[in-house]
Order: sequence, then structure tokens, then C-alpha cells
Amino acid sequence: MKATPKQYAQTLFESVRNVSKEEASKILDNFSKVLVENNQVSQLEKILSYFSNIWNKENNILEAEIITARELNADDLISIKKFAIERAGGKEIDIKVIVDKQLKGGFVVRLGDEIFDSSLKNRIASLKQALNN
Amino acid sequence: MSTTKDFIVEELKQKISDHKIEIKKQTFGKVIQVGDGIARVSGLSTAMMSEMLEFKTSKGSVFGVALNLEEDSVGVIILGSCETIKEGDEVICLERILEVPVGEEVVGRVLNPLGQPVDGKEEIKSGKFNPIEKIAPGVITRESVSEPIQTGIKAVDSMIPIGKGQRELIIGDRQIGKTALAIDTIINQKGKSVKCVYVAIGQKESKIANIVAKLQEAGAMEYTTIILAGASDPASMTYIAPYTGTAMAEYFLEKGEDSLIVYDDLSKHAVAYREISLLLRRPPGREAYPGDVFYLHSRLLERSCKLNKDFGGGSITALPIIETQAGDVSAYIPTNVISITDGQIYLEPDLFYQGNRPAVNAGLSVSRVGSAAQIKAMKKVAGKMRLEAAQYRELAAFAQFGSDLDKETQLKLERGKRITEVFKQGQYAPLAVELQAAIFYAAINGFLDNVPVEKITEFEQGVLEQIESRSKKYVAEVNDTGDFSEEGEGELKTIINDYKATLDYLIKEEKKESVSA
Repeated sequence: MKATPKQYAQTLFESVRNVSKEEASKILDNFSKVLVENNQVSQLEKILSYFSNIWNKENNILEAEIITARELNADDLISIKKFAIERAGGKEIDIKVIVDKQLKGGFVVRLGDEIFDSSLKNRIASLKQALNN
Repeated sequence: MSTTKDFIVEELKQKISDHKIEIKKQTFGKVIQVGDGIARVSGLSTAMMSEMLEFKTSKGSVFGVALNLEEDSVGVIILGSCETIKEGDEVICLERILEVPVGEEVVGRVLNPLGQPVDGKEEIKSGKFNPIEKIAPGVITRESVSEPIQTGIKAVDSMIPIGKGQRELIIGDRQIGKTALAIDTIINQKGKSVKCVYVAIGQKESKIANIVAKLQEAGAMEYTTIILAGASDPASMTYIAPYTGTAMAEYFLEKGEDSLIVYDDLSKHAVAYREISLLLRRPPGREAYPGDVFYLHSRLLERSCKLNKDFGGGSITALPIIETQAGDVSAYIPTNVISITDGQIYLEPDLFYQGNRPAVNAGLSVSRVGSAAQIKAMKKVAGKMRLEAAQYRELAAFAQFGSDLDKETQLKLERGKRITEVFKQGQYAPLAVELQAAIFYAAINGFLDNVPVEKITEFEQGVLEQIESRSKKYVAEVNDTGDFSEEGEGELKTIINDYKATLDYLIKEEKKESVSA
């Protein structure tokens, strides 16, 4: 039976946990050979996404995205980051900052699978709905 | 002029300044896979069972319901078209269960399973909503079935009486009058303050257009709601349709009113649920139905009940319909629903093609509530008639072998033939209960014995017209007390005899013979 991408990811995670960089690169060599032998290279993307999920879960890391309408100055960014850390409930967070002009203004914070939407786009939509009713 | 303008401007300003925007925490996920009306969504860690989800697509929002909660994904049925949903689209939990609008406003309308109009009229703006899934009323709130609900069909009201709050299955092959029976029952509720809901599950829309036209013609749309999940609607719509219908009927139940709900038909509902379940990769069981197909129907039909006085005394009477394949009642879904309901009306193709319409098979049809759901007048005549009809069926099978029969048997056969004839009834022609009792009275007391079998229908029509126009005592008595006294009986006898005296087609010689013998 073929192993699923999830099983590959789990195995990979367990074999590279708590090993040095040199050892890890050796393991990765072997892992890629196994993938090629088993004709599973096409599954690599899925395996990596599962791997990153498992890694984050085991190491208590939350992925966070801060999406803003334009580039923010440092102070604003820090206060938004603070908000995200508060909400993360003691977990470490791995923050990415993205600029998306479609938001028109404000910001959106994504934390794991939670979303805090304070964008102008969302506010306009909500006002539109309130006036319609 | 200017005041109204100022007023509007001020009002708008006020509204905009009153509108507060709070940053709400929402749970989101991403579509992994979509197709066949089903989507698999990652994330959504806080999603609840049967919670509403919103798909944010490039062309506006589409709604769905979470049905499978798995370790790292959620299986969702999509309510609406899934063409606009793409892989990677964002999905948000709405933190509420699927609800539909209910209230007086839905009466007289044709709605889809989400409560949106499909009859081209305005949106339902009742402001009241009921969740489509609700736990059935508990033991404390219930009462046993005691009041009759009149179907207006002679064969049903006399032999298989249905009470308010009962669940009576209508079962039979295709094209033998299952829907007709249910529609006649709805038509007969006119003026009886019973709200009706007709749930069309996977039906042809042309058939529904016909039904709506017929109900309008009969004036029955004034108290009827139609929930339509057509044959072209996705399986998810078909799946929720009966629950939507029940949610609307429950509004009247809570108000202490009586309602009648027809599910036409539950075999298609089971098929739609099977489709959804297989697409969600739930393991198939017997006939490929999922393991919880019994619960699917039991939780639906359990919501039909009669509440006691302390809880308003409302009721929901359910008439689920099941279509069998070539008369096979022992298939999976028919046996399930038979065991859930309080009895069944079995329609038989043989009877139908012999011309006995409605083709009710009296032997296989039962009502577990029994004569508790009959008025006294009907009880008086129906008991004897049911017995005579049963004896006739037995004798008729036996009498096919020989013609040399004794007088008594021949009399029974003749009587039976006439009773069978009395049971025949046209479509869209429900009959009031007092008139039903009258014709049955005539049948069991031998008033029909000298009317030729082929003239029974004509005779019945004539005599009922006479009773309607001439009776003072009998009709009033039955309507007021549900029973008739000796006086009423006497009056009935006189009217029947008077009418018979005017006829020229009665059998005369036979009567003399039987007297001399």
C-alpha cells in the first residue's frame, strides 16, 4: 500500500526531530531518494504542507498573517503584532506581513484559523448590510 | 417637502453614526476540494455540526452546512450552485444553525427549502426564524391522539381513521394515486382551521405547478404552504426540504394550532441523503444507504405530535409518502418508515387497474390509533362495514371456484360488491364526514341491496344531495355532537326511502324472491 502524504510528513518530522544540521541533510537526502523510488515526487507539495502543520503543532507555533492596505510604519506594526501575540494564548507566532490594496484601509490579522477583520472593505460591507435591513 | 427631506437626511446620518463596527473573531478555512455539491474545507477548527458556513467566492457569498467534522477538514454540503466556488476560497463559520423564515406570511406561498420564494412574489419578511433541525417535543408535553383529522376519503376515514398528531404513511407503486390522496386531504381541510404544508421532494416542477393550480382552484392555497425541492435542485436542497417544512409547521404547533404536513416523497429524500453520504465518503450499508438513514427519518417524523393542553394543545399530523418498486414493501426504506409511523395506507396497483380508486388495500392498511380517531357517528357505521368488507374479500376469492352458493353467502357477496362500489371516489372530491356516515349507514342497513351495482355511484350522488338539502336533524346533530340519535336515524331512513321511491332502476324481482324464501 502506498503511504499517504500525511504519513510521509509524520515520518519526516519524527526522523529530523532533535538532530543536527548535518544529520538532517543526510536524512533529507535519503528521504528524497525514497520519494523518487516510490514515484511520489508529485506529492511533495502536499507533504511539505502537512510537514509544516505538524512542525508548528509540535513546537507550539501559530502562523500569523498581518494584511494591510499599505506599508505600515514600525510603530503601527509593533502594536498590531502585540495584539496578535496577546491573542495567540502563549504560543509562539510566526508572522508574515502582506500588503493587499483591495482592503482599501485598515488591517486583517489571521492567527491559525482565526481571523480578525478590521479592514475598510469589511466595514463598508457591514454598513451596507445594516442599511439594507 | 423640506421636512421630509431633512428627516431622511438626519435619519440616514443617525443610522450611519449608530452603526458600530466591532472586530469580531471569526474562524476561517480554505476550500481543499469542491464538486458534486460537496466541498471539503481545511481549518474551521471551531465548526459545529450542521453549522452554517459562508463561502466567500469571487462572485458573492454561497452558503453551506457542515455535515462531517474530521480531524483536519470539514465536509460541507453547498446550498446553491457550487460553480462559483474555487479551490482555495475562504470559508467562514457563521456560528448559527440553518434557519428558515416562519410565520403567517409563509401561508399560501411556494418556497424553496431555504424559505426563499419560487412563486415570483415578494420575499418572506416575517422576522421570525426557526432552526430546521430541532429536537422533537418530549414525553411530558405530549398527549395521545384523540381527535380525528378528516381526509374526506371514504375508504380512509371509515377503515383507517387518522387522528391529529398521527403519522400515517401512504405507500404504493408509482402512478397509483399516492399524491392524489394527500392533496384530497389538504383540500378537505378547508374551513377546519388546519394549516397545511406540502413538501415536494425531488418532484417534477410541472407536477407541482399542476398541484398549485388545483389547490388554488379548490381554494386550498389560503391555508397551504408548498416547499419545493425540484428534480433539478441539488441533493443538499432535497435533503433539507422536509426539515424546512416541519420547521414551518412547528410555528403553528407552538401557537397551539393544528397543522398537516405531507412529505412527497421520503424515498427520494433517502436517495438524496445517500448521494450526499456517499460523496462525503461515509461507509455505505444496505442498498448503499448510510448507517443513519433510520435516524434521518425517525428524527423527522418524531417532530409530528399532539401537544397537551398545558403546552398549547397544537398538533402536527404527518402524511409521509413512500414509493415502492414493483410493490416491494420489504425494501430498506419502506420497512424503516413503516416501523416509524403509526400505520400505513397501502395502495395496490391491481385494485387501481380494476377501477377501485382510491386503490386502498383494506387488508394491508392499518392505523395504530384506531377508532380513537373517529367521531361516534362514524364509529357506529364503520365497525360493521369494515367487517362486511373483510368478509366479502374472503368470500370473493373463494366464490371464484363455484357458482352454487347458499342464499346467505350470495347476500354477503352482493352486499360486499355494493360496499366496494361505495368506496370508489373521484379525485379532488373529498366528502364531508356526516355524508360519509350516511352512505355507510345505507350500505350496512341493506338500503343499497336492491340498487344495481352499476347504479350505486349515481344513487349515492342523488341520495347525498337529498340528505344535504332536506335533512334538518341528522346533519346538525353529527356536526354538533359527532353522533346521531334515533330521531336523526329515523330522519335519515325517511329521506333514503323517499328518494328510493322516486327511482325506476331498482331491482324488484330479486326482492320478492328473497321475501318468499
